Amino acid sequence: MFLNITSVAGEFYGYIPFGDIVLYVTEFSAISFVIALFFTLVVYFTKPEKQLESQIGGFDKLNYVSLEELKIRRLMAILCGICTAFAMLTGDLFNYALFLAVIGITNIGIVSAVKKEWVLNAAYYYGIIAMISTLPLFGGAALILAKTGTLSILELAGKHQDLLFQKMLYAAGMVGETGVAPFYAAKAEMFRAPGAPYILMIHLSSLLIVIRTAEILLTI
Amino acid sequence: MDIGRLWNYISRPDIVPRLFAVFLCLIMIIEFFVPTSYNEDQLYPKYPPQSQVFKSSLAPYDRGGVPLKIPADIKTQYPQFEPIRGRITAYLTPPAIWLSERTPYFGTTIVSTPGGILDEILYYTRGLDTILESLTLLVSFMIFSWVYLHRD
Amino acid sequence: MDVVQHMFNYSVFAGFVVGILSLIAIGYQRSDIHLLILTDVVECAMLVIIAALGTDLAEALILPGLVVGLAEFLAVSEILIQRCKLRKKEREKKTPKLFEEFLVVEEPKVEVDIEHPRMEILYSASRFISLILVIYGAFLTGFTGGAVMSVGLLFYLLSQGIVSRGISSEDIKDFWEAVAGFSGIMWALWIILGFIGFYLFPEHYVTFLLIAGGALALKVGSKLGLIGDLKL
Repeated sequence: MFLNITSVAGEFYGYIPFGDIVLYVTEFSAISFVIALFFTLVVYFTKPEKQLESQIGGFDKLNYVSLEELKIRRLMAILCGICTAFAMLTGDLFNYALFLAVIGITNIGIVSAVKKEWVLNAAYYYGIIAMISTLPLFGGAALILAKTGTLSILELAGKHQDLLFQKMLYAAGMVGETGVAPFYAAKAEMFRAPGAPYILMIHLSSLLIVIRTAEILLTI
Repeated sequence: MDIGRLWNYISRPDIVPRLFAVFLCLIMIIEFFVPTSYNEDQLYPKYPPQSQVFKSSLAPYDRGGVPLKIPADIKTQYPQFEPIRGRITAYLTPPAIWLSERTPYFGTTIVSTPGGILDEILYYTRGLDTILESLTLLVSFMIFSWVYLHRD
Repeated sequence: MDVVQHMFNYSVFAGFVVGILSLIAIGYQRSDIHLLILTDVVECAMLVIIAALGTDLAEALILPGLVVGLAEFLAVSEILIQRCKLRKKEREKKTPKLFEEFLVVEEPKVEVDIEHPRMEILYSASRFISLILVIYGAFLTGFTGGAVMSVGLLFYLLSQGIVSRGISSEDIKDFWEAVAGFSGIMWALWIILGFIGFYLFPEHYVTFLLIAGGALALKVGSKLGLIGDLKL
């Protein structure tokens, strides 16, 4: 079979072709896909949490999510979940980078409806990082395309070329987009916004994206 | 040197973009010591620059083919998944045909769309990219208009 | 291919130099608004690196890169504005009126009679010019056509706001929601009919091509038209 690849992701189950972009299903990606879709359903059916903020020298304040705010934030969380699910399946480097960009912007969207200054402050700085990291992501993908002549992960898996620097660039883009260790501060502030299941979607998407990027970089 | 002070410093959101920019800078400087190489065997190759001028009215974008009859010859990644490969590239709308018979500069205006090599890539062979691209625009527009309309 | 191959190293080098310089600038920049503008320069460096490939594929990849940058810039800048407004509101409790940019403000009375240069085109030909732009955009189709169409819409709304033919805040809100909904429907139409149709019914590709081009033009045109006409 010509598209069969051996990778760290486990057994190869099949592929879904859309022209040059071929989605492929492995053990790992099937499981992640189901997790992301399941969580999207959970987000759709759950009501948001209410936060009780204790105040010094006054009555405690109840933070709740209004209906209008709920609608946009739920929509953003669902879009984020669907994009995360399909990012697990995609078999094209540039397409994956675009998925990361969409996930980044939906993450901003989940918190942008909160009218609190510190949340918007964190969202703004996260947006700046997300914009900067389009350079390493798309630039890394373009350099890989220049060196190997293809963007498809399935083709790259069989070629075994020296792509160390390009992979480093690509990984740096992922680090910025998901907020890995030293660059976590802006994203960690965003998690503190009220409205639990939607905020957790940011968490889940970054976790799945980190694992999936590691898998891609080990495969190619 | 107190390491706790360092942790406190990087926990401020306004520091993070600067930190990330410097980090990315250090990685990108490595590029000057790594030889970049260019594989000649590229997908969707272009003709040499200026080679089509005044020979074809679709000047830089002429990839051959006859509209609705003969598909153009383009090199894609997976031809076996693309039964109509090259047909969108060859297609011209009736106004585009009318215009291309009258001016040699037709290709520079991109008015051959829908049809032409870029539309083949954007709509057909890499259509999923365009879906995500317009989804990004849609999402950011939603964020923008929600924030804008609810700012009172 | 020789020229492209020859130029590849130089173009990538140029892209990296632009990227590194703007990243260093971000590193020591203090002002928030300058940070935002510099990130746009970083995206230009990304476009240079993609363009260095010099194939048709690179040309097609530039478009998603450009649009993603543009879209993120739009959302992030609006968040910055909102944050600054919240910060200001905490200091002084003044609420801004919805669509205050559009509403006609009373002109300050000036004692001396000054001859203002009147832009005649805004009064006499706004409808004509915007109509031409919209028709030309529909003829182009795709993203380019959408951009041209949006310029037409923008010009029309802008001139109407300036000559003050009774545009109220409610009117704009209704118009806004209608056009935004229309744009979303066009997006769905394009995905369902335009994209999926290519793979299900390859023999009718011309129909789907026309749907894709037309729907994308309408979608981009209506959306960018809305964005552009805010004098933020």
